[in-house]
Amino acid sequence: MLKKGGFVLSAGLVVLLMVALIYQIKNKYYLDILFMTFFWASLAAAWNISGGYAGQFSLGHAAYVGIGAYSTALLYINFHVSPWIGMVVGGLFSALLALFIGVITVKVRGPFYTLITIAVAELLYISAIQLKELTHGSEGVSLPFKPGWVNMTFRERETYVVLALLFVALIYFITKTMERRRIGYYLIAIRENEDAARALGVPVKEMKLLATVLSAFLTAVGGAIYAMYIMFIEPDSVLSFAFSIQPALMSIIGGLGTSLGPLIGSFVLSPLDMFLRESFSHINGLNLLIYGFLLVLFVLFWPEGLWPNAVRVYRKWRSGGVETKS
Amino acid sequence: MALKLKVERLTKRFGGLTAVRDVSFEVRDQEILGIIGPNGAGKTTLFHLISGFERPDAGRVFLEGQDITGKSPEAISRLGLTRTFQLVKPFGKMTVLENVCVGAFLRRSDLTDARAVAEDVVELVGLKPFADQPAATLPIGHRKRLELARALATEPKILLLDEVMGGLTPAEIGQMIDTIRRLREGGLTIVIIEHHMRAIMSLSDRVVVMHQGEKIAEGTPKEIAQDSRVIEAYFGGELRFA
Ligand SMILES: Nc1ncnc2c1ncn2[C@@H]1O[C@H](COP(=O)(O)OP(=O)(O)OP(=O)(O)O)[C@@H](O)[C@H]1O
Ligand SMILES: [Mg+2]
Repeated sequence: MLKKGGFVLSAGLVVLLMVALIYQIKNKYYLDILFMTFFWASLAAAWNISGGYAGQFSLGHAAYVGIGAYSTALLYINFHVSPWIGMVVGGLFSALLALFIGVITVKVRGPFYTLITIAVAELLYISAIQLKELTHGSEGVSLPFKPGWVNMTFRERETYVVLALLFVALIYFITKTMERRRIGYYLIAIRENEDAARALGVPVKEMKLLATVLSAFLTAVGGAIYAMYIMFIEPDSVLSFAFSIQPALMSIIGGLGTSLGPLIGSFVLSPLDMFLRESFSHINGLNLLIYGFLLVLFVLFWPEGLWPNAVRVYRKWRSGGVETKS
Repeated sequence: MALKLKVERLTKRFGGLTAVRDVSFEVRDQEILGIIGPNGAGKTTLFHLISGFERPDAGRVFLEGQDITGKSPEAISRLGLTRTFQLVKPFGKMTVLENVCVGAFLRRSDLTDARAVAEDVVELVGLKPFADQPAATLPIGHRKRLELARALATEPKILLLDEVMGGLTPAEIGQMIDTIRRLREGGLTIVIIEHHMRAIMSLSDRVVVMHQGEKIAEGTPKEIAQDSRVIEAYFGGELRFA
């Protein structure tokens, strides 16, 4: 195990190296793939805080993406509020919604919790279409192109990619820090056995709320960054069910409740998804069929997730082929 | 001696079945109170009621004079009463040491401090060689010790142990008895449910006997062994006092 200082240093070096690499890429399409990969990684890592660590299996995180995107965009075009502030406001709105969901679901567990999160996201999607005065309905909201740091608007695509990368790094750092603290131990304990955790004095309700609220806040910030990148938002683009499903999928494929799992999940699935879309667009739905099929294969062969599996294989290799069964 | 725990006329019904009926007893400071009774007597349910996992239909529980009836398990644990589970509940993916750290975090907020407590406790229950193994890989005997270790790490004033000797070898039972004795000498008050008669009779200062939800006898191990109702409840001499 690396010492804390060593960890920060090596993570910092990796980020620097990646920034340097980003500026070597001139191809717009590759930069787009890279941005989307980092963006999905940030959503997955944010989802993982509540879905993976605390075991709160939400399939409604699209609600937070949407709130983040709409808050930022609407404050920006209506009141000239800088997106940097808008995204914090969106984050706070999302946190409030998460708190509300958390309080009404205190007594429910498992599938019922998931159903309620889906319902809330669906409700928000419908509201965004219906509340035309506020959201412009399905016409959507166009953001003006006025480059500058204050407006979070840039001429070069590279800057957006770096921004997304830094955001992923931030969430990773938060998760990693949590793992070494009481809150991380408590969240994993709750996921592994709630009753045993309570017997040891773990404040289960409060911990779950904290994880969900943090997860919602970060997801909304991700939504804000995405809105500034695509510069046009509508219910179907920022409140799509995909924002609820994909982060969960990426965490599961990469390794639920691990700090690197969701990132690896996104690094594998995002380019794959975009590549399939590009290559098989001539037959409607074929890309989804192949994507789905590959997901099944992943889950069949690496049910615990790519990262935990890689760790196990590495340990096995290092200990000279003697596998410690878990 | 000061009163640590007072259970007053506890009753719990599950539908038509009364799992615990009108049970009262007291536990004094640094005492070891044994609870015995045939399967289904209501012993575990009694622990659920005391530790806040089930709400009693009637009756009250006092911890050091404070009414804790209806409080949540986490609040009760914070007040100094921690229980173990008969059906062990390890945090499977965490290592043994991390499992124990979760308990230690109740009174320490820093990982270094919590680990120090956890390491001591892991050593005390004899799990040191397994400290870095995932709890899911432990055999049953070790899982029972892990239950004890986690509970101890919360630094309780009073400990409720629900059949921590089930599945242990005779040698391991001997060690467990020693450990529990040492804990009491260290100042702990202990209530222990156990089917293993020799262990309970040698450990307990007093024994409460339950049968079909009711307390049918209470006394020193000697008194209990001679009680006709107890022998009857156990029918056919399942009770051996060696
Ligand atoms: N949640 C529940 N719902 C319904 N019945 C229950 C519940 N919990 C316990 N019971 C019943 O209450 C009675 C007492 O159970 P309890 O587990 O307290 O017994 P016990 O003395 O601990 O037994 P054992 O020695 O087998 O552990 C049993 O008949 C049991 O089936
Ligand atoms: Mg029992």
